[in-house]
This record gives sequence, C-alpha cells and structure tokens, in this order.
Amino acid sequence: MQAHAVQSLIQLQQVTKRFGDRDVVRDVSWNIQPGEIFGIVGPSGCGKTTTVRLMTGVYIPTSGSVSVLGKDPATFKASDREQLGYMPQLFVLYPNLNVLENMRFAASMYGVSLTKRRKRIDELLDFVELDQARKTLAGNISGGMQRRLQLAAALVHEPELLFVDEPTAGIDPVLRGRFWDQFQELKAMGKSLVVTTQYVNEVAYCDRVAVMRDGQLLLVDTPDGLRRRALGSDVLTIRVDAEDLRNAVRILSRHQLVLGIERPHNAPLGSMMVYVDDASTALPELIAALNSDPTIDTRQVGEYNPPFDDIFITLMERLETPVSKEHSNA
Amino acid sequence: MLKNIVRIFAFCAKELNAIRRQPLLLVGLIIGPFLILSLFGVGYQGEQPKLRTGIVVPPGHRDDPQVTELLKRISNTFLIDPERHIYESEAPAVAALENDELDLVEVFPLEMTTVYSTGKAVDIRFIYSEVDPLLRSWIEYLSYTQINELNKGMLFSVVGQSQQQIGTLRDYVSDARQQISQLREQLSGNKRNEARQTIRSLRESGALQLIALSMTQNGASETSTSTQSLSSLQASLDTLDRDLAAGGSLEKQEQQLAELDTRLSELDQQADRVQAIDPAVVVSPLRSVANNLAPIESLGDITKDPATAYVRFYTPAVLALLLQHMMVTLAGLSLVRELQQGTLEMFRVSPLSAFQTLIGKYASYTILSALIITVLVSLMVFGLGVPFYTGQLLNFALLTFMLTIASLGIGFFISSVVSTDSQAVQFSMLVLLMSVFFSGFFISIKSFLPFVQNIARGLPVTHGIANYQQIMLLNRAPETSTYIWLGGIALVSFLLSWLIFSRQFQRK
Repeated sequence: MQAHAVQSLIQLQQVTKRFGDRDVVRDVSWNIQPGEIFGIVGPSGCGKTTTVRLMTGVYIPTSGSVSVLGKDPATFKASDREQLGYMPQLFVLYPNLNVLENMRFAASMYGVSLTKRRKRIDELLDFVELDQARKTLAGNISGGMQRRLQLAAALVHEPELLFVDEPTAGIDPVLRGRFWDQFQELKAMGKSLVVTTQYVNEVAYCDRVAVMRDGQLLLVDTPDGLRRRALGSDVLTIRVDAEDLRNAVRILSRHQLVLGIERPHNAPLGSMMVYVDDASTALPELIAALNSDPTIDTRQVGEYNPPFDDIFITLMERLETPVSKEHSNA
Repeated sequence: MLKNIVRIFAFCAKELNAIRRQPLLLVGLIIGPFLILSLFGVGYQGEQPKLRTGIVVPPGHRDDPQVTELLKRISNTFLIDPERHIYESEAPAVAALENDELDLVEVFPLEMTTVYSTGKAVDIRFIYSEVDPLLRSWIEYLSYTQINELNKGMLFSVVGQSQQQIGTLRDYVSDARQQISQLREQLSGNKRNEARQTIRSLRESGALQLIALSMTQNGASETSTSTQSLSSLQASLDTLDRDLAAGGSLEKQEQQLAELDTRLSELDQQADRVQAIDPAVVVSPLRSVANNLAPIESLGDITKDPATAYVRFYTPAVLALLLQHMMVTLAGLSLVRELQQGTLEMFRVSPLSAFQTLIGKYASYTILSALIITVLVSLMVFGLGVPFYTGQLLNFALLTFMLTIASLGIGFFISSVVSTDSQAVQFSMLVLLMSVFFSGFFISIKSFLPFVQNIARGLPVTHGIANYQQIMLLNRAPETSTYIWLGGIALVSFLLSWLIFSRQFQRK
C-alpha cells in the first residue's frame, strides 16, 4: 500500500471540501499514475472544478489529504508550482494583449528566461495552430482559439503535470477532437494530464476516468471497464439470416462461453446480442460454432460498443439507488 | 533570484502593452491636461468678473450731476448700463435682479445729498441674490470697498473746501496783523487819536471775529489757544480804547498787542501748514507697501499678463493632481480586474506571489508615470513657457517617484478592498474630489482646522502641489519632511494592500 502511494503522481484520500454548510466535494479518494490521462467526468456542478482546485492547491481540503508530486499542495514552493500547468475552465488571459504578448506574460509568470521562451513559444503556437494569429489581440480571436491559447500558455514552462478544466466545453466537435489529439501528443511526450469534461464520449480518450456526481466519486475505471460495468459483461452483436435465427440461438445458447442472448429492439431481423465474459476469447469460438451448422448464414459478427452517453446513462441509473440512499442518510 | 525578477517584470510588459493599446487613454493623459492649461491661458481674463449693477437713485435725480459723478466713480468695478439700469424706484431694479439681468442692485437714498447738513450717516443698500459663498463674499467685499471709496471721495471734497476757507482765514489774519502793527506804531508815537481810529477800524472790519468764527467752524484743535487769545483781545481792545480816551498809561496794552501779533503770526503759520497738505493725504494718510520676498519672477508680470502668471502658477498643481489621479485610478482598477477576470486563479496555481504581483504592477505604473510626466512637462515647458530649473531635475525626479508610489499605494489599497471595477472608479473619484478640496489646489490648506490639515497631508497630492511649485517656480528643493510624508503614505498603503491582497491570493 505504501509503495503504491509513493508511485502515485496524485493521491487523494477521503477528501472533503465544504463551503458553508454544504459539502461541494465529499469523501473522494483516488490515485493518479505518472504518464496517464486521467479524466474526471460528471454533470455540471458535480464538483469537478473544485476537485481540480484542491489538487492544484487553490483550495485546501476541509478534511482528508491531497498529495501532488509527493507533497501537500498547500505547502508547495515556487519550484513545485513550476511543475504544474493549469488551464482554467474560462479564458483568463488578457483580451487587450495579442496572442504573442499573452504567451510572453505566461512565460514570465513562470520565470522562463528570455533566451528559452522564444523558441518555446514558437513551438507551442505551432502546436496549438495559432502561429498565424500571433499578432492578433486575444479578444479578437474565436472562443476555440482562446482555449488553445490558454492551453499553450499552460504549457509554456514545460510542466510535468497538466490540469485542464473542461477544455472542450461549448466548442464544436471537430475542435474537441483536435484538443484530445493534442492531449494524446502531450501524453506521448511523457506528460501527465488531469482533464475534466462534461462530455461523456470524451472518456474514450482517457486512460482512466473518475465519474462524479453531487460532489461524490461514483467510480474510477478505464473506459473499457466503464463499459463492462454498464453492460455487466462483454457483448457481441451477431446477425444471421432471419430464417436461421432460431437455429443460431439454439447453438449459441448451449455454448459454454455464452452468458445470455437478447433480441434487440429496432434492430434488423436476424440480429441478437450475445453476452460473454471476454469478447476477444469468445468471438472466434462462437463464429466457429455457428459455422459448424452449414445451414446458418452468418451475415455480421462484432463487438458491441455502445456510445458512452448510453453507458453513462446506464451507470447513472444503476447507481441511482445507493446515492439516493446516502443522500437521505445525510 | 533571476526567475523572481522575470516574474516581477511579467507585469511591466503586460501593463505597458495594455495601456499602449488604448490611444485614447494616452491622449487623455498627456494631451488633455496640456489643452486644458492652454485653454485656461488663452481664456482667462485675470480678474474677477464685473458685476452687472443697477442703480436706484432718488426720484428726479437721474440726471443729477452728483449721480453722474457717482456712476463715474464706481464704473471701474461695476458694470452699469446708464441707459437701461438706472432706476428711480427699487421695484423694477429688483425685478431685473430676479430675472438675472442684474447681479446687484445699489440703492442710493435721497438723504445722501444732505448728509453733512443732517450730521447722520446714510445707509446705501446693496441687494443681490447669490448662493455661491465665494461670489457672496466677492459682492460684499466690493460693496465695502465701494463705500470706502465713496467716503474717501466725499472727505476729499470736504478737505478741499476747508483748505479754501483756510485761505480766506489767512487773508483775515493778514489784515488784522497789518492793523495791529499800525496800532502799535501809533501807540509808540503817542498818537492817541489815530490809535483810537485804528481800533475802531479793526473792530468794524470784524477781521478778528471772522478769524475766531472760522476757527470755531473748522474745529481746528491746534488753534484753540489762539482762539482764546483772540477772544481776550476783543476785551483788551475795549480796555485800550477806554485808556486812550482817559489818557492813562499804555504799557500794558502795548504788551497785549505784541502778544496778539505773535499769536496771529503762529496762527498764520499753522494755517499755511494745513493748507499745504494734499487733501488726498488728509483722507488717506497711510498707504500699504507690500513686499513679497518670494522670488516670483518666473511667473512673469501678473499685472501685465495675468493669464500667463496663472497658467504658470497652476501647472505644477495640475501635474501633481493629474499624476495622483492617474496612478490611483490605474492601480485602483488593476487588482480588482485581475480578480474579476479570473486571472487571479491562474496566478494562484503559478509560482507567482502576491508580493511579486504587487511589485510588478508598481514597477510598470512607475515606468508609465515617468514616461507621461516627461512628455507632459516637456509640452508645458516648451509649449506654455512654464519655468523649469534644470538644477532641480533630480529633486523633480525624486519627488515624482515618491508621489507616484504613494499614489499607487492608495490605488492598490482601494483595489484590494473593492469587489468591482465600478467601485474602484467611484473610490478613485472620491480621492480626486478630496484632493481638489483639501490639497491646496484651489483653497490653501491653512484655511482648514489643524486636524483637517493633517488629513490633507495624508493625500500625496498635497505634498506634490506644494513641492512641484517650490521646485518649478521657486527653484527650491523640497523639505525632508515631504519625503518622510510621501514615504510614510507609500509604505503604509503598500503594507495594507499587500496584506489584503495576500489574503485574496491565499489558497482557501
């Protein structure tokens, strides 16, 4: 247990943050490992930003402990803070300065020397595709460009750990995709990222995801793990000729790897959903089983990957009862 | 260490770039005061406005020469339209006052023409309708000086008449002395009948009685002894006449005549002295001769070119007031804008401290202040001819620096306690208003009670005005106490701002 804590980049242990008589974050615990993209997902007001602020040291927890880079953020020295990058939820740079001047300000704020900053700023503006807009006032660029500028400003001092608070809120899907591409590139460079989002589909880009609601952590898992939790197991979709459906169901239901079969609504005739423990193991075996009956015309076989929106709704529905119980207890 | 310096100077470039992007602000800060002072120089007449005055004279006296003379006397300070604003009753004049056609109505009563015969002082009424206490004081002062001038004019006339009467008196004295001399010769030659004839002639001419009467009317205190002697001489002449008729000794009478001649001679000398005095000296025997030790040559000749003198006098005050207001406003908006804009959250995560943020902002605005003051002073010196002694350059720079950091301290204090930029502007305006009233810009701080004077000294501009004037107009270095006051204001305001801002900066 001790060894695990030492390895963690960020460790939260039963962290609660109270404003007045309201717990904005309650009893949250997790470990974030170096080099991973850790997503925090949940509806607006669920405590994501407060949790990020607890990890960046802007807030001090009411109870519990926070450790970032092996230290309590409340005791961070300037040299510790130089290892953090932070992109706030809103654009907080200066609209009356141009892109380049904002970058220079951010670089100065982190004490980046004049000799280093020029090359670094050029690289970053290229990275966030703002090179052409370097002389444009930040107030005159689009919302998406402002976000990218804010990201570049957060990276100007080459931080080891980057906190990104809802980077994609309110921007178009194409730009959202580009943001995640950039996060993946940063990860490839060896950076660690903590990213909050309201868009549950974006959890697919994360290595691990924390799901929060009403200030509470519901679960932490990988995107695949979340899917499995929602569906209860792996699911395969198989479609055969409509006339062969009965035979196919008979064969599959007898197979030892099949946990259950379901006929989906609004699906083409001959379709079925097959529940298995491990899709990768079961898939070739089930195809072989169906092929053992030459009368069955198998038309489509694959793993069922429902949208994360659906997975999230399913998870929420599943977790609804215990949360309500806790609320009533509180 | 290097990183700390880089962090502090993050704000220099940021603030200066932000201000550079606001040309209107720069124009306002530099060209604005220059234009205002230029307009003041071109438009200021250098004197108080003349009051539009209506004169109410007694009915039928509109064309009285005395009224004409009066109007002539007062027209220097009062604006009187003889065609429209001479009234013979009070009501239309007051109506004109109420309609704002006039600033003042002056009512001369009929008794004014008979003041000497009645022996009673006469009231001249001044009617006005004014709220402004400064204008009220001005009207009352003008009324007072006008009555003084009128009284002096009347007195001058009376003295002139009296001196003419003294001339007549001296003629009588000369006649009387001639006859007394003749009488004395006759007595010494024992020409008794001729002497009696002369006594009769002296009595009949009435010269002695007229002298006595004149002196009594004029009330000349100096000649009271002579007057008594003259009265006793009347009796002596009667006795002499009787003695001459009786043929007795004349020794005693001769002595009396000699004594009378001496007295009349003294009287003549005294009358000569009185007659020789300029009536203006009698009316105003004392004059004031003011001697200003301050070397105010730099202001120019205030009597010939008052506008230039006023522009030069007010320029240092405008500089000080502008500098303070500029710094208080910029600093006042500075921190609260970071708070409102959300940048403070970014600062909290960064290695930046509240101290570095404040020092960075101090540095940027101090650089801005130096740039603006340099341009502004150059414009004023070369454009308006405002004096500047190059020997005082270091003192000027040091005073500007101290005034800047003290003003910034007040601005940052405001910024650290308010929660919106409109509140910051409001408080900055309050500081400006307080400065206009208490800093000595228009009203000397000596006009206030001591405790208010100390409050005024808590404003950087109070020291700025006094010492910019000292440096620019008098070529004198500021007192050490100036730097102590400004340093104290700067230090206290910085510590307070730092304390409060650190709490806002603090992790919660």
